[in-house]
Amino acid sequence: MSKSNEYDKKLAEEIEKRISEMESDDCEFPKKFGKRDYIVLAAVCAVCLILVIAGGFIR
Amino acid sequence: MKGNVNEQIEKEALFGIVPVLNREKLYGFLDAVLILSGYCIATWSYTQGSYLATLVGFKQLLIGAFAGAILMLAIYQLPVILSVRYGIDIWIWLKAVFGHNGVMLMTVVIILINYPWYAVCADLFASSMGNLAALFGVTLPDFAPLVLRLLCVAIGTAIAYKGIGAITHTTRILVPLLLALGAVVVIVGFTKVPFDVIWNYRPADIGYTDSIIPYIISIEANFAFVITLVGGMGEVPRLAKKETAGFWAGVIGQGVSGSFFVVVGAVMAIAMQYVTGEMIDDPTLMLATLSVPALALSSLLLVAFANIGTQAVGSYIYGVMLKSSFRRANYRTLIIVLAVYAALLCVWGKIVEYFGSFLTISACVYAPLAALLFTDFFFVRKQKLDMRSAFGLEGHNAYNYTHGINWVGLFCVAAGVAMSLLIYDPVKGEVHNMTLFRLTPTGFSFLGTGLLYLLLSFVPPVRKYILADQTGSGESRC
Repeated sequence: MSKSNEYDKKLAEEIEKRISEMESDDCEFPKKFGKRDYIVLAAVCAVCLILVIAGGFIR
Repeated sequence: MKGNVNEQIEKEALFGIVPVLNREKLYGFLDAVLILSGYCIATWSYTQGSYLATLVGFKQLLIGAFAGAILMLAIYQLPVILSVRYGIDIWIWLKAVFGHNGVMLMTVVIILINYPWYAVCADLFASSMGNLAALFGVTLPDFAPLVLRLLCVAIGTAIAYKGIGAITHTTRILVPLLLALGAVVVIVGFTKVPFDVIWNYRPADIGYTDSIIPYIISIEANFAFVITLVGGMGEVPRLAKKETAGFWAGVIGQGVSGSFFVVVGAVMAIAMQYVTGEMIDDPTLMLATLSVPALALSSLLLVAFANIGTQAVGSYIYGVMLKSSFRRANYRTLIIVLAVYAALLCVWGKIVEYFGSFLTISACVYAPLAALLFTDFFFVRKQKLDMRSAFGLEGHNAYNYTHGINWVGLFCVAAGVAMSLLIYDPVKGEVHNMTLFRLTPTGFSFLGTGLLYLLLSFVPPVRKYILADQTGSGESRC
């Protein structure tokens, strides 16, 4: 078996193992981007947008 | 030895893409923000700062560099939460958007439009060396700038040629050096030139009939500058422990730290114009003029190493990126191909002259790419991906589309490029549609491409085509 085929096989096995683990019921995922985070994000975007628009009026 | 480097790179390129599990995650918010700050700082930030200073006054420049950059980053980088959640790079998700061969095609396009940054880097290196030679009374021959640019590319490539070990050492020295250089430039700029001169700076009239146009071009330049990071935005966040940490690290890394160095470049350019009457983006010349020759000499070493180091890291990153798409190609052959491309741009020698055009042309492609990722993740695939198909595991073919290409995704990229060019010609600097131009070419292209892709996804045959992973084919989806 060539080295590149060997890598491909090992890689596929490793990926399959990890995906199976992610699909298991007891798999933990990182803490999700929640509602509060979206509110903070919207506020940051609004402030930046206002500043960018206001910047157009500076002479 | 030759084989070892190639094998190492092969492992890096292939095994570096596996999903990272939660227990393997490395970075909290602070770690991620520090790493991403280092990733975002390069000597070309000075070129961006000095370019912005030719367009707008200092207050508008500050707003654009921080608020403009953060606004674009906060929107387009939101899909990095997928990288954190599944521990994958965005390029894995993009296989759902473009297909396996489509992603290969996009990789080549991204490298073609992004690699000119390294010609900018080589140009800065040559300019610094030339200026320092002049400082010591040595007049270099006419061909010297080209030789120096090519030398920068050659040394950078030689470091990348040695593989990951040399790159790791280079990065460890590079980031502190760039930070030190930035600190010196700020101190010299603000102590040698009155604060009022910088704060109240206005550029000379550059001939626009409507004064809002240069401001919009400056906002476009900031949007374009930060959106060029879209290709690499998932690499660090995939190792972050929380989605919030991965996302905000990217926004702050570029939007605050990266933008700070852009502003430093502007301060330097304004200070130089005040003292010499000429806008300069070369920190060596600035330090030589505004400070003492000894400081200029030490800055020579900083700038020289920073540019060569950036060249080496870029050569390595894009070499690995190409290697992961073209598995059978030799890593060393790939970085030599990249070096030849950078060398040709150096021989052309006009990359800095066309810096603004180059930024917008890059953003023409990056904006649709970012829009497709955003729309696909939130509104089309709704945060669900068939991981096995995305990784091309045997028997899982949902993302094979038409001979490996999702033509809907590629059509949307082409439409996004057209939208951008329709309202603004970045080469001639002509505005074709003033109303839409107010959204900036990058902003309009981002919104237009996202909307087009979303609308197409409601058309039943298109929906069936792009959502093959949701049509009951039995694919398991995370």
